[in-house]
Amino acid sequence: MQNPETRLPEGSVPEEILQQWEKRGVSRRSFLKFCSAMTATLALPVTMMGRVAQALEADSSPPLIWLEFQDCAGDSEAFLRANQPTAAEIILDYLSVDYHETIMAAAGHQAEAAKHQTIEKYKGKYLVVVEGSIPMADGGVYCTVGGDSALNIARQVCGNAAATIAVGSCATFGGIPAATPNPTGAVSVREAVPGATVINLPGCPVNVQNLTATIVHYLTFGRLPATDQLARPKFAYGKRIHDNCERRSHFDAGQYAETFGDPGHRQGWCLYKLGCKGPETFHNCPTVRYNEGSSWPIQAGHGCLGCSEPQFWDAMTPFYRRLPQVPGFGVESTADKIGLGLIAATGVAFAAHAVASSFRKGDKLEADQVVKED
Amino acid sequence: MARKIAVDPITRIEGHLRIEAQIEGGKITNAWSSSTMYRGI
Repeated sequence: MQNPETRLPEGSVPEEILQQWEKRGVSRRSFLKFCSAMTATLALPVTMMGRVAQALEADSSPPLIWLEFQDCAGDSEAFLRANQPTAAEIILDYLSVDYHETIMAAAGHQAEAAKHQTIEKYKGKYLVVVEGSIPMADGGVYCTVGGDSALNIARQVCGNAAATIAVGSCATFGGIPAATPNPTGAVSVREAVPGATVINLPGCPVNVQNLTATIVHYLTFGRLPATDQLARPKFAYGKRIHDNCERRSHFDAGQYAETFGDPGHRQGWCLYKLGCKGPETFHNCPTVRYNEGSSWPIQAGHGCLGCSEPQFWDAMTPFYRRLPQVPGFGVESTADKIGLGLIAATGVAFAAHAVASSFRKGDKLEADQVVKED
Repeated sequence: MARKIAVDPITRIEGHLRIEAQIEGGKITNAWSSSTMYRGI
């Protein structure tokens, strides 16, 4: 009889790994589902699934420090409530989360001691997740933890880490605190600690599947996934919402919802005229979706707000008006060279559609009908 | 003799909080709370 080991098809997960996870209360079905979801999110070939599973089994689990600055804990909530194949359980079970203010038992100087211990003991080896922007104005008084400023903490913790994962739009690009007039001088982690190795996972909140996949990539390959010029992983931010949108065929056919609740809206037509920012937003929302892949804003009938793009609040408002004349495009020109060409083409397409649709309906220009917001 | 302790950060809450307490004879006689984060919104 052949050794069963040698007969395992490529990409399958060894039986003993499944048994070990079962002992920890994660069913083999859940674990396999998790591994295949991660492999798919990272756009790896199916044959890599076994390697992903083995990486999660290794003993060298890196400690993780989760820092919160000018945040709303939305990314923490997204992470802790992840029900996509028990992602949180698997990752939390595997990683040693040494510091996370929202969930840790210790408080005060005990909490700070845990953090300092990790920094000293695992210098250059631990991972950091940062949630929230960092205020630079007035000596950093607008966010302090344990009597020290967010800036000092970020410098110390991110500066000594193997890698820093900035999650959510505030930590990655400044987000809402950095919106005009930005009274606290809020900046992103990358701006506050230029020397640190930072990967950006913008979104409001971060899509937890992308965060988990980034961690799994690091565990599997020992490095962060490939990124674009804005330090965003290409597997998650390589394509525009518009490219993969399930309503794209309606855009191409010139079928637009003109107001919320109109017949076009009820039939699931394109939300571009209701202010959808999908054409200038790079994110994998259409394919990964949220809440166990059950839905995402455009599927639910609401246009994309462009929450994961730089300067999102200033560049993407007003939310319910058609794409503003191009300030967004300017922002995007830094995103990707390839994107730039596509955007120019899309701009032409928009103009063509607008003209065609105003002729077809013999109606007022749709720009006059869009909901005005004050 | 009054003694003052500070607990910062307070954990298992959403947000940033610092509590200072003044203790005299085993009783807290005064306490102060500070929200140590401001976003400007």
